[in-house]
Amino acid sequence: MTPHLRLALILVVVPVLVVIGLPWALRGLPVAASETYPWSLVPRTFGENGYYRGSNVGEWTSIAPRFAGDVAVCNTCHQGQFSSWSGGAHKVISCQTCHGTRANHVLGKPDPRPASPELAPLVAMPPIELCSTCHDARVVGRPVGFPQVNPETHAGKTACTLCHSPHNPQPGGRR
Amino acid sequence: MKLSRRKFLTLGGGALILVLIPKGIETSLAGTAPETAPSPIGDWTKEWEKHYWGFAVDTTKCIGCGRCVVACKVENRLPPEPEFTRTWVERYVILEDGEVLVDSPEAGMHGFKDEVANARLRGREIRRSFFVPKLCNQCDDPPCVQVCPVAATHRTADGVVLVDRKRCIGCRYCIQACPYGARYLDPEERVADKCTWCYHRIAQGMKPACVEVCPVGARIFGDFKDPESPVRQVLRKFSVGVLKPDLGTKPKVYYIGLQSGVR
Ligand code: HEC
Ligand code: HEC
Ligand code: HEC
Ligand code: HEC
Repeated sequence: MTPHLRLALILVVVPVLVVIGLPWALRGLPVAASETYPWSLVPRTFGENGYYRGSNVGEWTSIAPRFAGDVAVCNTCHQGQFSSWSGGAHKVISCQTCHGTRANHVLGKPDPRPASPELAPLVAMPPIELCSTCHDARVVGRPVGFPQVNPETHAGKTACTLCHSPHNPQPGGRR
Repeated sequence: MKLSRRKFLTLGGGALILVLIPKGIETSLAGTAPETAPSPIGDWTKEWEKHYWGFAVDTTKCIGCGRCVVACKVENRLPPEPEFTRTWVERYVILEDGEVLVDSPEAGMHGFKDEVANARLRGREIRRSFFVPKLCNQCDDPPCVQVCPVAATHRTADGVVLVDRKRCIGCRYCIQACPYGARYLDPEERVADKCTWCYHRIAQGMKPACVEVCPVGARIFGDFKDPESPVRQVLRKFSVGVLKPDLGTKPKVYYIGLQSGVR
């Protein structure tokens, strides 16, 4: 056998061994180890559910919620606020709309602080600004019939919460 | 052909080593792999066939308070700047002469309180005005998925379009392809980002954060495979429209009271 034939033989046999032998040697090994196989750039879970990396779905579902799922749990510890809230016009608003994230609070742990003052909950605002977020009649575009006032003429500089309870906002409503 | 024993052994041994080295790497990798945090809901792909999510927006109820935009940022750990947002609120003001004015100051996240803008609008003759919250339509035929060159954006079996943040190369093709402008480039990780209908929440039976905080029930969420779900009731009771139906993307956010001209 001439040397260049032998070289050709090696050049054929070695790649074939690598291509067939490697996957054969690695078959059945646990897939959890790394995102890709050592010889390839394609993620292992690629194609499990479709033309994408299958493990991406689990990455999205394992994010921890910050808002609690159901405000009915608030009633177990805050019966007072809960019952006045459920008897008033604000019962359509979630407690978390005004009080911010409470997913950890219901488990007895502190919730993360807002990353910036712009993302602070409504209760961090002074009362007039808080209530004006939803009730300012000067805003153009609100549906007809939604209860609105002009804060300047309705109350002047008096805090809205002096006459209205935030939980049961009818004047004289239970706090 | 004459292959000496020495050559045969060298060749064969080489081939064997080639096969075994990766196996060694593999075994050592398996030993040191970090434990992935257990998801509270286990393997969602075993459950997802039972659901098909849908979203409805009631433009006759929205008051433009913007709390949905803020809640989305908090729940999904988005940057505080209004230009990087997964959802936003637009105000449509239709004047008596037919002119249509659209604005969305800071994506609507601080409401529409700006008195200068309001005073200017009140000076015109307004025929009708209303707010239109916008978010990803989770299209059944999504152009963003089609154009992605690395298969980083994909549709789940329960009908939500997700972005694989590890695979995305930040080429922005999908941002261009989305006819609804629902995508943006994450300024920190340089990957495409968009609304997921709070996939982590809905997989646990919770409502998306924007739906949870909406004070007037203008955002409605539910499961099309559940006959009692709020979205099924909306489709039963109201005539609804979708945005840009002519594009054939089959969007799944249904708008109640959608005025023609809203795009
Ligand atoms: C396991 C009992 C428990 C549950 C459930 C619970 N809370 Fe509380 N909450 C407390 C206690 C105890 C305090 C007072 C201690 C403190 O200030 O942190 C408190 C304080 C508060 C306060 C006033 C102080 C603050 O953090 O602003 C608010 C508002 C509040 N809770 C809202 C809620 C809401 C909304 C829910 C439902 C999503 C809820 N809580 C569920 C126990 C509970
Ligand atoms: C419209 C906004 C709003 C909603 C909705 C709301 N709160 Fe409040 N809440 C406030 C404000 C504002 C205060 C501050 C108290 C004050 O100034 O009277 C407060 C105070 C509280 C406090 C502190 C104790 C107190 O009375 O001062 C608790 C606890 C509380 N709220 C629980 C709840 C729970 C539980 C719910 C849901 C059932 C809820 N809130 C819904 C606005 C709201
Ligand atoms: C996140 C939006 C939001 C905020 C903030 C808010 N409200 Fe309301 N408010 C509502 C909604 C929604 C209703 C119910 C409207 C309806 O029934 O059509 C309502 C109803 C009311 C009503 C009853 C009107 C009626 O006709 O019975 C009053 C009064 C009121 N709010 C005052 C307040 C005050 C005072 C504050 C500040 C502490 C406040 N609201 C904060 C959304 C809000
Ligand atoms: C001095 C007490 C007082 C203060 C302060 C006050 N209100 Fe009122 N508010 C009332 C009374 C009394 C009524 C019921 C009579 C009426 O409709 O004018 C009322 C009614 C309302 C209504 C219902 C209007 C409707 O059309 O049904 C809203 C909304 C309201 N207030 C919001 C606010 C807001 C927001 C603030 C703060 C900027 C505020 N109020 C401050 C006493 C007050």
